Amino acid sequence: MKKIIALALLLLLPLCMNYAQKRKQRIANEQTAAWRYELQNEAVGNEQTVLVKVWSYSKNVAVARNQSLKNAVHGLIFKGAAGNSDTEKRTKPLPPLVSQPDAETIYARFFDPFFADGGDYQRYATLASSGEAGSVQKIGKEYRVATYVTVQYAALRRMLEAKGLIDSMQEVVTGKQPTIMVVPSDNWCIQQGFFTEVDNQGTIERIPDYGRALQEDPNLLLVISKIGELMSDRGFPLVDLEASLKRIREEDAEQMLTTSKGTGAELAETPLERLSRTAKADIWMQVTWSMNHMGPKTSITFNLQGKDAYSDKQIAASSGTCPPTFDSAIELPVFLAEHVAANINPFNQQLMAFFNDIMENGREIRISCRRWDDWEYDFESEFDGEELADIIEEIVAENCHNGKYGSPAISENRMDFTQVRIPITDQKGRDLDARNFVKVIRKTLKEKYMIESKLIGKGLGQAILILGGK
Amino acid sequence: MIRKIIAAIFLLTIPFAAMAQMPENDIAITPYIPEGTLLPPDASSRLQNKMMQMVTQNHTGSISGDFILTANYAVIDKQITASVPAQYIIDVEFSFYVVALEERIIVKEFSQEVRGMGRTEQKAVINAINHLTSRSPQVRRQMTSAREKIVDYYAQRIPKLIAKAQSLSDRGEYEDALAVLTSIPECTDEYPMVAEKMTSFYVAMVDKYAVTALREARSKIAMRKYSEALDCLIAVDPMSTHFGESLTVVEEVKQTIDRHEEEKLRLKLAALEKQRKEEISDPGEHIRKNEKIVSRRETLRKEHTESADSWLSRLSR
Repeated sequence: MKKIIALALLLLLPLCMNYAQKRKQRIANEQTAAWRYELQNEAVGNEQTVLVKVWSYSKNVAVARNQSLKNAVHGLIFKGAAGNSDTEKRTKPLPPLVSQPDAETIYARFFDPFFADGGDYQRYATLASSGEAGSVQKIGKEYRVATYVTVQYAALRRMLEAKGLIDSMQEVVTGKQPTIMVVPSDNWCIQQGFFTEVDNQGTIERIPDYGRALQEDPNLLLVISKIGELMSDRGFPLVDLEASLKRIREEDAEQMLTTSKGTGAELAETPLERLSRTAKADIWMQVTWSMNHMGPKTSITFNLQGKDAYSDKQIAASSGTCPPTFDSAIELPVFLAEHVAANINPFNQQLMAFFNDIMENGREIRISCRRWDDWEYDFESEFDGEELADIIEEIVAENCHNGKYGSPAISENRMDFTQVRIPITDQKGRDLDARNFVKVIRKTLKEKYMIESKLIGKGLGQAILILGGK
Repeated sequence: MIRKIIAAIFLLTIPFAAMAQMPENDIAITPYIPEGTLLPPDASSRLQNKMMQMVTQNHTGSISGDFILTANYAVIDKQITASVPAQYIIDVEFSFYVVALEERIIVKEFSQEVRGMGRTEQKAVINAINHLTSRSPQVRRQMTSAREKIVDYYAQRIPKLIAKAQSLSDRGEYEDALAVLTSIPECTDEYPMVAEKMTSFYVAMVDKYAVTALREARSKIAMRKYSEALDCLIAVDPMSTHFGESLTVVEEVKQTIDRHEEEKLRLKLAALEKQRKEEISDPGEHIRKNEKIVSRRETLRKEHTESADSWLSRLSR
């Protein structure tokens, strides 16, 4: 009898142990689903990986360590990671990849098998190290275990975009895609000496020399190339500044040389057309970096700003300072590349928010109305009992998206509308930009009031209407 | 063959046709950009070309410099765009002056305002200069007005200029008198009279030089410096009334030279003959007296003496 009991206990013991292990794992999964873990951003790698520190809870240290992989991926998708303000780290917080609050429930068909034990989440996470001192804390009956996990952040994001769980940048921006160009800021150009001093009638002006900056500073090319690489990865290739400047020079030469075979006539060009032969973009990404010297150590401050070319608004920005490092250990190109990688994701998040705003509330444009000086009327002249300025404002109000536009600045010779929201597409489903939108004003003025006008479009977001003739 | 002949005739008649078209009251004006101008070199040469077009297309081109067309410029407005790359837009006013150089007066002033654009300030200025019109009715009017003003000015000033020139001539300052009269343009009605005056002043001037030259020549002749005397006489202008006299003196000098040369030659021949006779009578004495031979003999004697001294000194050790 005793033998049978002992045999039974021997048989039952592994089952009990297995059951206990599985129970702990199940509890750990429940805690993960309940978001009971902490995540902190430690570093963003050059190759678009993210190193995070994960604190996991379990009664078993080994279970907690294993669970940290799942917690890392789960956190980056749904919760985000806190930044690290420690002087030696200085990392930014990472927002969640999926911003929808109940996405885990809505897309349970995907996420349940994804986060199952042995699921696909393992493909995107690797344990970095877990042996540091203080990484295990006993709190009551359980352990709080800290581990470093490397996550393939870009690959994870691409996977979610491919599954349609998050929108890619390309998908968000329907209609006419805005062009983005990376340029060095005026401040950087002047600090680095890439400028021309001009005496403008008593005022000394410093004009940035972009061509010389591109030719003489290899770090600038590296930064532009890195940003271009990361944006292309998001499906949003940038317009290259250097290529644009070269194209402009070629166009200048072609303009001079092109002549008609029959008559020898040259190409017609007004001064305004000549003035517009410059590099153009709808969104300017300005980069600036500077070295900060503190004794034997140096740190680098990096700033990335996105500005809308038409509304003059800053639509996205990201900046930061790397931890100070001994001068001998600084490799500026490597530091810059890391900074770009660290700052591009928060920047793109804001850019996405800007694009989402366009999709929801319409594109923001600027409309400028002027008059020729030989026109007999002005904006205060009355037509059918109404001032011309009021007539134009009425047309804008009727046609803009949801009636949203800023108060115009009006005087007898000019009217300026800012913050005018226009639909992405017109009534016929065609993509709408500022020029096409203002055609409505021109047409109405012509048909109803016999007012001739000249319309000049400047990119997606600006149009100039000059009344009184062509 | 006939075609070639016709073409040749055509080419030969072009200058005459061009001359026939030039108005009688044309005044030559020279474009000139002063040194030290603030214009960049490329812009300066471009402006010079434009001004040359202005004067030549209005029948007044010249390089003589009696009347000049010069220019000054002022930047009215300058804008520099904040685009990539930056663009310079410059509004410039060019002021043109027709100046009578001799009298140092500004005869005419007119201006043109132009706008230029470029990627650099220099290109913008050159672009602005390119917009200057050289054949516009305005420029044509201004150049015609300048010519008329010059003619009117000198028409009023001619009596005073002639009086001034006469005064200078009376004092013997013929060059200054002629300079005053040459400043008067040919298109004035009184120019034939001016030309006569110039001729008379010129003759008086060359006469003055001729008298001086003759006096100097005679003094050279007295000192028997015939070559220098001839040099003085060559400077006498054929238009001088003393030209005939100078020719006479030249002939005298020539004859004097001839006589002296003959005498010299004769004496030389005589010396040679004498020498020849001496050589024949006593060759040895001739050789002894030959200077070169004497000199070589002395040199050899000296060398022999030195070598003997050295030999003797070695013997005595």
